Amino acid sequence: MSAEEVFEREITVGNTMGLHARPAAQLVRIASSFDASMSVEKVGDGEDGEADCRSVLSLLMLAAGKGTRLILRTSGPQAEAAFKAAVKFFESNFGEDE
Amino acid sequence: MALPTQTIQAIAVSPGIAIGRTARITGPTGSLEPEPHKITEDEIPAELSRYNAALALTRKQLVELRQEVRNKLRSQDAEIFDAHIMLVDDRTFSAEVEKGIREKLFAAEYALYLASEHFANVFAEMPDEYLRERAADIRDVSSRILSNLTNIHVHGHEIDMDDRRIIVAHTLSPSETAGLETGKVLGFAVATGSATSHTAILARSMGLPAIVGIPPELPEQLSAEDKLIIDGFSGKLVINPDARTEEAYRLKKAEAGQIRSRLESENELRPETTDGFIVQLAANLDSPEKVEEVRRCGASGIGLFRTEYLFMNRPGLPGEEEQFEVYKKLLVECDNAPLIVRTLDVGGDKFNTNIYRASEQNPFLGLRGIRLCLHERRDILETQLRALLRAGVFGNLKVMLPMVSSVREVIEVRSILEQLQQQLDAEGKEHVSNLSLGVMIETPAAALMADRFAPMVDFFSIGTNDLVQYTMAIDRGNERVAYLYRPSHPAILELIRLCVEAAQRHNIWVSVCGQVAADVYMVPLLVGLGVHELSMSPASVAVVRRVIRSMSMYEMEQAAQAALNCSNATDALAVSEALINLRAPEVVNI
Repeated sequence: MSAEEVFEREITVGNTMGLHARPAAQLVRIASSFDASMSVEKVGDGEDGEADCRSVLSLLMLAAGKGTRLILRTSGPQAEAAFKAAVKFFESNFGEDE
Repeated sequence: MALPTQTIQAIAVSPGIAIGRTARITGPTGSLEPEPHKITEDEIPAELSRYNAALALTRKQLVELRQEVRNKLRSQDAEIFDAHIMLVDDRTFSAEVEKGIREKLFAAEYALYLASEHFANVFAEMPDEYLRERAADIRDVSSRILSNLTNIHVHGHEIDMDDRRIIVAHTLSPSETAGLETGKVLGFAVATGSATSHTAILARSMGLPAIVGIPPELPEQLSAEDKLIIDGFSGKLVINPDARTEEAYRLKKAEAGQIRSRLESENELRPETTDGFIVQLAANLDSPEKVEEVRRCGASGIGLFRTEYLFMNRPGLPGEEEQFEVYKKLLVECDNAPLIVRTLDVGGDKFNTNIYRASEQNPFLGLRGIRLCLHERRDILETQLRALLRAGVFGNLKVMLPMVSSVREVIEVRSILEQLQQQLDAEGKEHVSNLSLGVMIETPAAALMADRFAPMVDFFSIGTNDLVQYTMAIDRGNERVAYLYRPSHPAILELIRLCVEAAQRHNIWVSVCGQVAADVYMVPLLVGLGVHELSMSPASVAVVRRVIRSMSMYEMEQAAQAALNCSNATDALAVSEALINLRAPEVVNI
């Protein structure tokens, strides 16, 4: 696998509270635990709507409430593992809304 | 420069006398805009490393503060600092500051200020209330970093308090109070707030005198050299007292201290009237960590556990397991003494953006307490009730519903309880099957309908703060109608009488858990009306016990009857004052 490979897919924010401080902080922890860069981009917002998943400020500034569609993107040596971990986190609705 | 000698009348919210120097807490937002100093390109590396050093120092301080708060208060309070540490570590934030230094050639202070304002403004514009409030976090953290850069201490908890001081502030946020070293605080004088505000509740639970409603400009005018006296009985604030006044207050304080310690030595004695009637004295608990204080004051149990504190100052909601553990631990610690848990009461002034987002014209008359839980957030109520049903097997648990105004609400909660019990049975989870359920009497409607409520519940708990507000039709926060806030008003006494009589007919008991339960002048009236239990902050139990042990039930009933027949609050209170002055003069002014 080449280091240039980019993993990408669309995900939807599913929990009631949206991507608020707690899940944002957890996503930063996930992103920081891999040798990969990770971003999420609001669908339709282009450059302005892109957030660095290692920055909680950047994630919060997306103001991604419930139902927001995001494109998750990872690249770098551990891109695939980082991608899987992030997808799992989003699909669990951040562990909220049992 | 020290201010001239003067006395200011404010509002007493926590009894006691404090004499000491000032520690001023200025607002957390860095109103200190640094000078836009420029640097040369050669200075960039030095400026960057200065900024990074300040960041590292800030991080270290925040970690220490978090630990301190964890040790002292509840772990939820410490979570505020997690968010702040995250901001210190944030790449986007640091990149913006570095840009200011590298590209715009600003000194670190001004680059930091620009970045902070930039992000804070972005957040302040956001439609989501929760995110809007993060602007304050950004400014809070930035002013910390700034103070490390410039060595100006802007935070209260960073004030060098070598000796114990009186905290003076315009407003005191929960996070600021949490950051104070409690051993170094003598008392509080705050401009905003009321008897039921956070500062007041905290001061009472710490046993420290507090007054609110000081002139808003005063905190700015006071300096560390100014000596203050806070009189938490009369609400007076004396600035730079003359020698005679100070001596008089020292005497008063010493006497109060002596009487108080004598009363506290009576903690083992039964709260029994001279003619042999026992009145239950319970304590209000606002955070689970304070259960030890309840035990020490000799209370018979916990008459009000406010669960809002489990929901505050945190993102997201506490889940069933987390709540179950809290309730279970409390019940075990109570060792079969009764624990009355109030279900979540948000709305009104108890604002919580996690749960309650709608803006209302009159939040106190809006969707608060059980109304909010039944109509918009049934999920929250169900989670809480499930946790309570499960925890109930570990002790003597009672649950009460806030802000009830219609019988329908109790029926709905009963049916929810039944469903939850079936669920728990199906899941094979242990739970209580006959949860003791009560309603809070806080609205005139509930009091007037007490006869209809009584057959459906196991007890009444009269929440006098709200009952007075709703009966007298006054906004508690509005100083212009504060003079009407009189719990001794015959209208209030009449509503309490209705509740007690309905309860007697249906063989259930009545508790009073508002602030009046600790008001020595109100105690004879409440007991005389037939209230079975008084629940108050632990610090007040000793004094109320003395009042009860000083007089007979017969005298109190006579006083209550006379007060009911009065035409105004002042006359009604005078009846009780006469009885206190006759039987327990020592409790006045302690």
